[in-house]
Amino acid sequence: MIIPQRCWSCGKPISHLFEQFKERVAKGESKKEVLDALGLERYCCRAVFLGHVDLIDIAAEFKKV
Amino acid sequence: MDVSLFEKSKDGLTAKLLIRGTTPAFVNALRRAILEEVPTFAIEDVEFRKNNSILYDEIIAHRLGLIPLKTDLKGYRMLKPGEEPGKAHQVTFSLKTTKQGNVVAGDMDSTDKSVVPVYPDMVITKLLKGQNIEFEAVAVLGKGKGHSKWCPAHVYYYNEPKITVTNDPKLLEETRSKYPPQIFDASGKIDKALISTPQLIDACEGVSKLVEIERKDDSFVFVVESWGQLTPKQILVEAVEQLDAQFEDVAGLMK
Repeated sequence: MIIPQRCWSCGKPISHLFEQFKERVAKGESKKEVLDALGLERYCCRAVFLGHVDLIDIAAEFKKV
Repeated sequence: MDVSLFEKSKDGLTAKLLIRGTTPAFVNALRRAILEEVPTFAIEDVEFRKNNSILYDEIIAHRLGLIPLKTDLKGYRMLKPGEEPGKAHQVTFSLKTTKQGNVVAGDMDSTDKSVVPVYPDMVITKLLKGQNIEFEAVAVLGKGKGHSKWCPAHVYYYNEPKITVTNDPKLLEETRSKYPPQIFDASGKIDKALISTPQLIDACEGVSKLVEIERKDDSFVFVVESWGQLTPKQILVEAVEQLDAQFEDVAGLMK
């Protein structure tokens, strides 16, 4: 749905990094490089980014306003 | 007991301490005091006036709670049971917006400029055209034992290793593939300084005689990785004070 505020396992705040991650990966940088540069060292935090499917834009269309 | 600073990260949020001449029981007591007893600010109550974004009120309230807030421990105190909440206990955040796209933590207005989100870019929700959100949220001081949103840091420790690297050329060729690639320097030899995390230390143990690891039973590397509400120094000082107060309590009961 939307990127979690914190890493599920260790609790590190991560949601502010996701926009940068998306942009840089879209520009062609490798995911490993971007994750390293963003300071996500542990594999728990990295897994949150790698496994995330950003469905909020699609889901939001279905909201009755 | 002898405590010294071992390493500090560039952003100042992570501190590695070397604690020598102590027991696992003591370092674990310190670790638990940090996780459970150090107060920090976090949003606790949210009143929604309007929310027609895709996320439900409850989800947004939960997301708000997880935003780390810069904490001023001197100007505020924790609410005691039965006490009326006042200016000394809480900070109010408010947000009213129709802006399309990500609504971020930095968009909220705080009643105190010293208590603000540590990371202003943290995402609260996302709004499409025609959607809006309006709420008022109250942040209070709390402790990690109440909810992990009040935890100030990630804390762990491991026995201080004594690493001996021989870099024997023959053995190096034979067993190179059995070692993690991160520990080799540019010239292809093992650099002792690169074996710096507990994971790498474990991975290098018992592979071959190239790297010998000895662990000191009474010596610990103690790592405090702050989530940003307080500095590692503030966290440690506050944890020690809380631990002291607990010992006083026990001593009082024994009289």
